[in-house]
Formats: sequence, C-alpha cells, structure tokens
Amino acid sequence: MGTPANSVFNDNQVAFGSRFEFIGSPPGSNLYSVENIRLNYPTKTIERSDPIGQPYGFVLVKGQPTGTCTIQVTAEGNATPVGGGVTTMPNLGDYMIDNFKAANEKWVIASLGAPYEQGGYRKVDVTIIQALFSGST
Amino acid sequence: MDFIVPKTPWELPAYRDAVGREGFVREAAFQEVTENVAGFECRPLRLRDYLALRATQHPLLIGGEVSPGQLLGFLWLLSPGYDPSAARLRKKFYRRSGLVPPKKPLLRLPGLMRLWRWRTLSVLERAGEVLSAARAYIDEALQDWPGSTMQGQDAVYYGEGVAICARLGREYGWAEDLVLDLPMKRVLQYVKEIVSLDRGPAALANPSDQVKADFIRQYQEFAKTQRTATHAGGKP
Repeated sequence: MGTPANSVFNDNQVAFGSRFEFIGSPPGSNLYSVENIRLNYPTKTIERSDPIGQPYGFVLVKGQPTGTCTIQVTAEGNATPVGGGVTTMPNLGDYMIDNFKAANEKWVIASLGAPYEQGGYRKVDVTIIQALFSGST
Repeated sequence: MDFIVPKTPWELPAYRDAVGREGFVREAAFQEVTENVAGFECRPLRLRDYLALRATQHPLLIGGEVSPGQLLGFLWLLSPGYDPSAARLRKKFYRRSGLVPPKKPLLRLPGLMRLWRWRTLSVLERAGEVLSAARAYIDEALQDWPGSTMQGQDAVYYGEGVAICARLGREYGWAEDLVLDLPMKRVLQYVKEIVSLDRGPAALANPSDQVKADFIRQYQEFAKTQRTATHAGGKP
C-alpha cells in the first residue's frame, strides 16, 4: 500500500491494490474494478558448487511473474446482474495493460474462481500471469 | 464529450466518503452506545433481535410494505426499555410514540373532521420519516453481510442463528448467549474475518463497492452512446 500522487493522506482504509482497468481481448471499453492485486516477480536460482558439491555461489535469473486479484463485475444498465442486465464476465485469456512498476505490462487471466454476488455486482477471484511478449491477441 | 476514468477508485469523492462512513460504523460498533432512529433511542441490533425479526418475517428485513403496527413493534423491540413480558410498558411506549393514528371523531362536525385529518396527516408524515430512518438503521447494521455464492442455493439444514453461533464458537470459543447478545455490526465483521480466510477476497463486499459499481455502470452507458454515435456516423 502506498499513497497515490494526488492524495494528501492515506489512512490505510483503502488498499491501493485497487484500480479501474480495461480488460478483454483486446481490452476495448470493458471497464472493471480490480482489487487485492498481489503481484509476484520471482527469480530462479542457478547454484554453483565447489569440487565436493558445497555451495560456492549462485546466479539469479528472472522467473515468470504471476499474480492474483479480485475483479468486480457490474451489470450494464441494470441494478442486479440476475435481473436481466448484461454482465460482461472476464474470460480466460483476457488481459489488461497497466503500469505496476516502471513500465506498462500485459497481464493475462490464467484462471477464474467462483463468482460471488452482492447487491448490484459480482466479484470473482482470478490468477494472472504476465505476458512477456505481445502474443496472438 | 469525454468521460474520465480515474486510475484508482480512491479518486472518486463519493467512494472516499463511503469508505470513511463504513469505517466509522465498524469502529463505533465497539462502543456501548445507543443509536438514534429519527428521535427514537434504539439499542444496536443484536443477533438475537435480528433472529426475532427474521422469525416474524418483518418487512423491514425481507422487504415489502410496513404497517404502523410493524413499525411500532420494531421500535419497541429495539428500545432500551424493551421487556417482552411488560404489556403495560409496551402500550405506554406506543401511546407516547406519536405514531398511532388518531381515532375518527364520534361527531363528524366539519371543524373536528378537519382537525382529525390534519392530525392523521401529521402522524403519517412522521411515520414516513421514522420508516426511512429505520431502513437506514437496518442497512447500516447489516452492511458487512458477506456476498452469496453464484453456484446455487445450498439446501438448508439449520437456521442462521446456529450457523453464526457455531462459526464463532468454533473459531473463537465463544458461548451461544454471548454471540446472541453481540451487535450485528460486530458479528458480521467477525464472520467476514472468518470468510476471508476460508473463501478468499471475492466473497467479501463493502457498501462502498456499490459506488464503484455505479461509476462503472455510468461509464458503460457513456461507452454505449459513443458506439451508437459512431455507427450512426457511418464509421467502422
């Protein structure tokens, strides 16, 4: 959690892992609220051993970045999704492009959890994986 | 015309207000104070009160029209002086509430009828005010109700009272009577804490999420009108 540039003070009641994102294939105008964003940029360790197999150093190379988040889905033009409004649930393979560190990154939905409903919206937990190249969509 | 989508919901003033409000309600729930429902002093809604309202299918809880009797019953149940066996106290409470419509005069003289109509209208106006406040009181008490699964309704084998008491008993070792006397605002926060560990963040909801939902809906309406305008203009 941090304080965004245009906030004077953050009382930590709002997790700043919460953003509005366009998600789709391509994202287009499908707007979602994405919260609880947890990104992981791991590494792989290449170990170097001495002649008798003891650790003698290592090299770290970048691993595949992955993450989790919760997407809030809102019915279009209707108070409740079950009441007949058009709900655009995100699909597997849909992606969002955003800057979480220093440059824009493309994050693809790799798995979708069971949606939960509350009032006029639904929430679904998803896992995401960073696309390191532009890909086919 | 442009529609500016902020980076984070925090940039929406309505969202900040809603978050501040729900945070205050959660913290204030731990103070032993009564609440004001349009001038009526009410205890915080306890699990025991909630179950009583559920058992009577009270329209303030399940929706529908609320009769004057049901509104008075609700206020009496939550009054600090509530005693289920004190019929006299209840009658006194009803009489002093100012929510009982006056009886029609025996002599239908024009002056008396005018006075009766005026008093009846005043009572109805006041009842409307109290009803709105009672609805807000219920909404606030149940603001932390967790979201429901979209996988279909599970079969019901026991009541909500058992579900909540067993959950809190198993998790924190609390006795049934203690849980029944806890305000719903606290009970539901504890339930949410357990749910967050069991089911993940998607099962959690805040009243402020509705502000985000409303904003997205406004954006979708805007995007739709833009698409229509583009098609009408013969552009791809």
